[in-house]
Amino acid sequence: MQLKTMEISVGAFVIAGVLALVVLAFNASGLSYKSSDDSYILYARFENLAGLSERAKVSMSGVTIGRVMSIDLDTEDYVAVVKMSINKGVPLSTDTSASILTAGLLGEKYIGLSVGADEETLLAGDEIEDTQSSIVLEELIGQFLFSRSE
Amino acid sequence: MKAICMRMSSYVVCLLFSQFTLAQADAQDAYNLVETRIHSLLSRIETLKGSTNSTDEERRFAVEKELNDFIDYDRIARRVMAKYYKDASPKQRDLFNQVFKDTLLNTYAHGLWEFEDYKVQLLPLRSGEQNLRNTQIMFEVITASGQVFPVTQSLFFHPKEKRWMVQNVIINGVNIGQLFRDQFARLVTENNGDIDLAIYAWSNEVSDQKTKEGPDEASAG
Repeated sequence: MQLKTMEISVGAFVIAGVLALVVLAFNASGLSYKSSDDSYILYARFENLAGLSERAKVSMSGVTIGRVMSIDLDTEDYVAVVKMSINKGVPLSTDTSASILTAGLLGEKYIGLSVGADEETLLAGDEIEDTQSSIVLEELIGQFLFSRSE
Repeated sequence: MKAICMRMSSYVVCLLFSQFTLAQADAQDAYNLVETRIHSLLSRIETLKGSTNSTDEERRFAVEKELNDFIDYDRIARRVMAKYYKDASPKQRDLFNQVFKDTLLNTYAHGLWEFEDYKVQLLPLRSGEQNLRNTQIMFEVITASGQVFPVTQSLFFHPKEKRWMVQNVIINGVNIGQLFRDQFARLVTENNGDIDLAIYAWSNEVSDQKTKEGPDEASAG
């Protein structure tokens, strides 16, 4: 009887460990359990994403208000089209701007939103038209070398 | 019933198609406007550069005359003030509009005179970035040494004025409107949320920069 109790405890402990790992994996990768009813979709076009990945954070004033859902390439204009899921409780004005920013020492990329002054707000499926692409280090070095050589 | 549905759907398709054609035509109008204005401004600058005794005021006036009905200063200033615009009084809004317009004109006038022997080349319209709220026209400024600066002008169709006007510019990948917005937000934070002080600090920072650059440099060219 005592042996059986021990076996059940070990089994429960192992299951709890596996569940903890699953939760950790979900949190680390940015996956959430929230249903799509709590959010709306917005799009933004960038010249250069420089390492922004799917499920990256979308934040405003440092607070996470959404996630990057998918990234596609517009093969007509050759720009990146980012699909974002934004929390429904956060209305954004039509002149909201989006920038690709870097967080922490590891250089994790995320989208930072800055709200504008327009009264009108973006609706589901709209596009954020004012964007700032990521600054690429190689381009900066190239520009610096070019300006020094003049 | 089926016939009515068919007629309705063909009507919707026609309507959508006409809207699409209209948007395309409008983007082309914006493109033509930018092309005309760039050439007009450059030829005016060349004329003034030819006369050796043109003053700073004359240069600024020339730029202002060319750009006045092309740039929507009020809209840009509102976008720069962003979330602080709602809290600002009408007097503060007017004051910032004026300060901001001065900043922009001085920067334009100074920058355009500083460049020597450059040419401007417009790039073809992009299909995915054209609508009445935002149409992007891209061109390249090529210096004598061959350095290329990509510039994107964002225009919108002013519903009251019934014409295209500039609302933002991206130079070499740097979104100038957003840069100004960040600077204004920084000044408001530094001045503990006082918008009057932030506007005062804005005009001071700009005049400080002009002093550091020096009047001779500003009038070079």
